[in-house]
Amino acid sequence: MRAVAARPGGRFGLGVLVALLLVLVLAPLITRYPPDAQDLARRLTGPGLAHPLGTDQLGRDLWSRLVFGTRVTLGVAGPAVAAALAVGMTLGLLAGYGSQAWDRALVTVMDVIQSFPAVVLALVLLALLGPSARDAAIVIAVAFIPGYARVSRALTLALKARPFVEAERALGAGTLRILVVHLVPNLLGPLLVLVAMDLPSAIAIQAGLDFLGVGVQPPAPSWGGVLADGFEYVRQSPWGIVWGSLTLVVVTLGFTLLGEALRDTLDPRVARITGARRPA
Amino acid sequence: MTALLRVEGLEVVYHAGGRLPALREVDLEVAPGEVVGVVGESGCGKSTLAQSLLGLLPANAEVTAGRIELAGRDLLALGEEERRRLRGAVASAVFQDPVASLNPVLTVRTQLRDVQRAHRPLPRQQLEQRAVELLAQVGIADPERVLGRYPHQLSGGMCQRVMIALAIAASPQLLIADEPTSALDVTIAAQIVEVLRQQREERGMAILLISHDLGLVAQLCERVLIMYAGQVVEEAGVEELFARPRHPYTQALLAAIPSLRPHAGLRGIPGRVPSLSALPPGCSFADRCPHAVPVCRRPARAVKVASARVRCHLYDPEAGHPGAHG
Amino acid sequence: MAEPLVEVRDLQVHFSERRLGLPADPVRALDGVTLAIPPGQILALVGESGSGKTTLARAVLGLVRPRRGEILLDGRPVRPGQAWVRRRAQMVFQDATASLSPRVTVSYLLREPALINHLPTPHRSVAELLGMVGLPAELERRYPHQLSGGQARRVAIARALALAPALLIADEPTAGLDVSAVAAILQLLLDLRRRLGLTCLVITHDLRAASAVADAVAVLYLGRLVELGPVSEVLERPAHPYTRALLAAVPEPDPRLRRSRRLLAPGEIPSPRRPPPGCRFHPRCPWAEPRCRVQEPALQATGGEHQVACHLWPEVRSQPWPPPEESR
Repeated sequence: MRAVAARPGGRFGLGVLVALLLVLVLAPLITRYPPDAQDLARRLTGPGLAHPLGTDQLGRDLWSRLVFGTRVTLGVAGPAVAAALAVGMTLGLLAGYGSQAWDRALVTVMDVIQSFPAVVLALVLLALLGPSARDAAIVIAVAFIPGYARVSRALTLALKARPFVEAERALGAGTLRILVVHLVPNLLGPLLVLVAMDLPSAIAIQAGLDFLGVGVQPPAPSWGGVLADGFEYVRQSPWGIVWGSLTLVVVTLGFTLLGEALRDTLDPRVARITGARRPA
Repeated sequence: MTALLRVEGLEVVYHAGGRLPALREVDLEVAPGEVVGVVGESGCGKSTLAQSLLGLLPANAEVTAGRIELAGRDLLALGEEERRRLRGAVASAVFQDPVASLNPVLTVRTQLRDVQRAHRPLPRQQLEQRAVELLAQVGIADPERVLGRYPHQLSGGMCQRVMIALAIAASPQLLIADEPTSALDVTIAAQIVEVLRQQREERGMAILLISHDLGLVAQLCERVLIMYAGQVVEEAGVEELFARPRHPYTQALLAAIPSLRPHAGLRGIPGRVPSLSALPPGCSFADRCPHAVPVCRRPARAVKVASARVRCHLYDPEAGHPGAHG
Repeated sequence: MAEPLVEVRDLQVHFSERRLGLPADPVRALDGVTLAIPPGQILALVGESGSGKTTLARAVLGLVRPRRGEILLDGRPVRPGQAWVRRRAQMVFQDATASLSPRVTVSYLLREPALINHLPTPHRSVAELLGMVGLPAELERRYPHQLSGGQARRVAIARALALAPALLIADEPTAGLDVSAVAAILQLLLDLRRRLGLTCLVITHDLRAASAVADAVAVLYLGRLVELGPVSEVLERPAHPYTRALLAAVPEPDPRLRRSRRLLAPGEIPSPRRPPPGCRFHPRCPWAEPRCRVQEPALQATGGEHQVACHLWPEVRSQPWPPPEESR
């Protein structure tokens, strides 16, 4: 953790993460108006004393909509990535450790899923399931599962050949124990890096779906929703787009940099575990 | 006679979480045609020494003092291009893991040809002929077949012979062999020793043999340097060193080799090699030495004793060690 | 001889592969090995690449399935996957650091065997185990990558002792260790035998290590046992040409002794996929006669407990060892 903070990118990323968590938790305390409170007298205003970021086409406070939108957006993207991690890792573990037949079957399924661009997949599935926040989360999760499955599978295959696995079997360790106690902890590091890289993608896809109207449904606040409304009324007031985009950019950049910093810190540690050379 | 290789006062530092002194005050000389051994355990700096000589130090290593002279040229002052020209033609190397040291995607033929072309361009047919000769010289019974093979298709012993062939292809004056037999089976290692010995006799080539194996060094070398924690602690002719080891570490090292005679008893060396990041003040061996006294907390200098050099207060008349030999 | 702890009878282990769907020549790792280890003995299994020594160790533990032959532990046949075997025999792997799971602490590694085998209380506590191998108790909080090579090896030994086995198999216990650490590890094995009555099977290519700890030596070549006997017999009165070649190849730390070139075994070690016909050593053997090419020699007794598989053993054994020295 310390090493991540040492890197400038890491610091920024951690800062973004902390800020988001604070916003998530303190949402009611840092906003003056509820996100759906309409004030038709003050529609599409710019930044001002009453509304620091301005208002949208129904007079709702933009700051408030973005703050509460954090809960919604992260509330979809976060669990989606977490689910993808859990399911993907499990599938990858089974594919790598189990029989060849299992492996081939799983890899084929993953290939099929990955052959669709995520957004297209999401649109198709949501069209079938009907637009909703919960289904959006499921769809995003499904799109990301193959990434985790692939990495887990590759790592599992490599680890399976290492002496410590044979040593554990010689002691009588069952498959479950080997997978959970000895293999999973080795997978979490690299997978965490993937999570940090996937979150911005998930958020972006989520925002895109909301923008298109197939994710979170209005009047629930969401970043994509703010962007969509801002887009529609851009000639009267640019501020919806401005603040919506800025939020997305900052968050996406933050997580991406965090992911890179994590990956850089992880490399020397991985090298040490695999026994790279020191002065001799 | 001018030395082929002369190292004076070499100091190398690693930047890895602090300054780690990998080599300190290292002096070394190899005369033309001489076979010199450098012996030490892990952490003694022998690999760093080999890398310094070849200009192959990793990025986080720095030469902070000293000179390296190869055939009269100051190696540390040379640019990479000039050093490359020396590599292979004046000095070349053989490393520990033969299969990993060869390029896995090129055949033996290609690798031999590339080495030759880099130093002595000849028409293709002559290159091929020379390649066959080189392989035969290192004792490969079926050179034509081996030429067409890839390294992973050859055994460890075979790969090491190929490595030696590559190393001698440009007829260097000095061959640096870094643990050339450690990765090989015992009977195969013995064959490689013969190859090195034979090549040295036929070409008058000097060899710098770096190894942890005192037996190997006894069989091949004329002069031996013993290294400990980055310093040379003893240097002597091979017979002198084995018959009359002077430095307590040398004595302990020789005593620790288990005998081939059964039930001859085990004698280890108490303690551990000090970590480079926590070197004791004074003599690095003091906390494991049976002769240590308070004066050993001061660094020992290298002193000449008969035809040997020892870095130990016991032999330094000015050090004030109570047990000092005259 | 008392009832042997371990008995191996005519053990054959072949590893078959498929190349492009067709079965390729199997790797004949072990081709009919018979030996016995009495309780409390330290037997050194000596051999080079392709000798089958590691395969033999894995077979004794039930980690590989033999093609033919039997392994008996305490008189009971060993079959792969049987739990009781683990309580009686354990192994220390060649690459000690890599044999320790990287993301768990030493403490967990030493407690795990008892957990896995459902022992209500462990036979030996973590502190006890660390003490047995001469390591300080604080080491229990470390992770394997924070240990030196020697320490990792000791932890691996401690783990093997957690289930209080009667047999400890050490695969190359001295490989990669500095000379000063070799003596310490070998001494540890001797101490464990003395204090715990442990029987040890030490697999090594290092004849010096074998001579320092072993009571008996078994020499393997390409999956067959070529010589077997008390250590003083095998190392001082070797009766097989391969044993002699092996001894000759070990460099002597004395510059005045230079082994004659003709004592060295020429040529490469053949692949275990295609061992030479007849006596497997014949292509490299200076004593080879026509019948060695045709007929594979069986293990014969040379008197006492010394056995050798060579048609010409009386002649070989009569040659003095070490041979008269040649000075440089």
